[in-house]
Amino acid sequence: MPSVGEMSTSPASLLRQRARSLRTLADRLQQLEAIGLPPLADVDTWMGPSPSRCHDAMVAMRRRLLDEADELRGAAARFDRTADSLALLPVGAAR
Amino acid sequence: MSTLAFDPDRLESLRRRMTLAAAELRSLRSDDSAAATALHVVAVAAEELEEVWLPFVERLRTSDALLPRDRRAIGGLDNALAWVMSNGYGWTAGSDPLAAAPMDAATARATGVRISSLDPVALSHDGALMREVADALASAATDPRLATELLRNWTDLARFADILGDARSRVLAKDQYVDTDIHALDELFAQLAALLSTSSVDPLPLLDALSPYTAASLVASLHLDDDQLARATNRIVHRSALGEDALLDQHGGPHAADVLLPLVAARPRAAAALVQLSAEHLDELLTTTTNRDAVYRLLLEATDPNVMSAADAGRVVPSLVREFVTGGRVDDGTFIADLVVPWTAQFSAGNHDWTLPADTRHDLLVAALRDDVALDRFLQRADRVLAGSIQRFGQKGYITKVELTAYVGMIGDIVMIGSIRDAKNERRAWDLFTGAASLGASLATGITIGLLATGAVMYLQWKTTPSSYTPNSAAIWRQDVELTMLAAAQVYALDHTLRAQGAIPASVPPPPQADPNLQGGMPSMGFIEAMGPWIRQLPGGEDGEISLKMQQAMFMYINPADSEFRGMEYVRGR
Repeated sequence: MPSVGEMSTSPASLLRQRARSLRTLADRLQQLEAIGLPPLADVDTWMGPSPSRCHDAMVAMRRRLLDEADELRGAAARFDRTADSLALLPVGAAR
Repeated sequence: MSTLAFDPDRLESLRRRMTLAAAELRSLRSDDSAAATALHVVAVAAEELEEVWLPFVERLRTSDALLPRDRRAIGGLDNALAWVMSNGYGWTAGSDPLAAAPMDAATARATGVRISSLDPVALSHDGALMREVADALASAATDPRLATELLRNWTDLARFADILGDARSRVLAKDQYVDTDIHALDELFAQLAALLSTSSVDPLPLLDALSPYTAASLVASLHLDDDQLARATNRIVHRSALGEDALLDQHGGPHAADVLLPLVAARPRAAAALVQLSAEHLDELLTTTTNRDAVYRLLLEATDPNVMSAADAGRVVPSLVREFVTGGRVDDGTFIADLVVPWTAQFSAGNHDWTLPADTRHDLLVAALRDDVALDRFLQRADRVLAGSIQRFGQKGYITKVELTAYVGMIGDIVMIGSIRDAKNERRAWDLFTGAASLGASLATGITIGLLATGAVMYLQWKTTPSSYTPNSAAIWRQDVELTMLAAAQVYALDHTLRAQGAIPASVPPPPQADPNLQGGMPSMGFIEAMGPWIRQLPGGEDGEISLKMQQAMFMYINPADSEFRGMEYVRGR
């Protein structure tokens, strides 16, 4: 486990930091109010062509946000793997 | 304007959550370049909420155009969904700030419910509303799913359509108390038919539920194939005949058959199918309409040999003839003649295409053509009579002696029993008779000649000899006609044989026919003179072997000297 000093300065530490930040953002995306909008915009609330389009738009928005959350988690995982690789390098190499 | 409906409380909740969502999206931050795409998506989502959906919701809540639970204001069919939710669930209805959009399934269902709620009697007096209904149906008719959804939610469609159908009938009957816009009504019917055609709903049960006239009006706009059209028409006309259109009689409007029969008459295969389906109750086609011309057209199209087989015609044509003759319907001789003309051969006793007893067939045709108008028409169509007979006998490649004698005898009965009213038809009768006899050219020559000789005698019996003639001159004339007929038959038979052997090419015209009505001389002289130009066209010319054979055949019975002698005796005896 790197020390606090290492975390703030070494490339591996920086990558892990970024990974954590991306995961946090992903968590927030998954918990957005917007994710919960589709049920509120369905036929229990309103009916008509435009309400129907609005509901469809909310569903699509939810899908895009969740996809981006997945992308962020994927990027975070790649950062972590890179950081792990850097940690295995011999002392003196870039870390 | 397009409208929508909403639950005010839930809409307010949606507005609050959208506002929070937009603010939350705007609050997201990240300096990491790996989050750039995600933040862009977030920004777009926030913008969509802030620029499109929140203003939309806000305008719904606050707009002056809102029409809270106002039935009249949202009575139009384009507002069907709003109407249903407003009246059925207590929602608020309002105009749609995002304007009209294509009909969706929910709207289609609501439109069905909304139309069901209309008063069809009031609708029939409201041209604008009928057009509105027609427009709504047209919108749903663009998509099978929408059409089906609408129809499934349209309760009591049959009663609705029947009331409109009755209004239509009254308009056509010029009922002064009806102010229906017939064009709007027809448009509505056309769109209803389009809806049925597009949907997965089977229209036939609906047609059975409608009054015959309404069903007919609908069928007129449905795109049915020939078989479907025939089946639907058969059922509807049958129901009409059973009195289901009796109410229409009260105001003298048109009947189902008035609508359907002209339609079917325009499609020969549908006509043939209908007549076969109606074979057991053909009289219904005649009794359910006042448009006799349409029925005649239909029956003639249906019984045309191009669309009806001889076996089917055997079930239909004699029944129709009997209906007209024995049923006291001989009010249009032209029709009855046109009906029998293509099937003359099948009426003769020697033919076995039809199962009806031979004598019955023969007698039926003779009786049908006893009418002056019918006989005149029959003779005018003599060429078609022969064409039909040639086609019939040609199908099997020969004609038996029994068939030929029965056929020629029947033609003889027709032309002799009937009253031929002018010289032109007299000539046609003779041509028909000799033409019928010449069908036997494929038989042994002797038989043909014998038949023609018999025919000549029959003809002479039939033809009235002028009373000013002495018995001697009349006898001379008859003798000359008979000899001329025999000569002509001999030449005809020889010509037929030589053509079959290839000795006479097809380019040579057929031999001349004997003319018993020749003016200013004996028929034999006329025939001898007509033979001259024909003989010169034969292979080898006037002095060739074939020409000599032809002249020998002719001279067996007639020659110029005898002809001239009989001519002098004839003149002397007058």
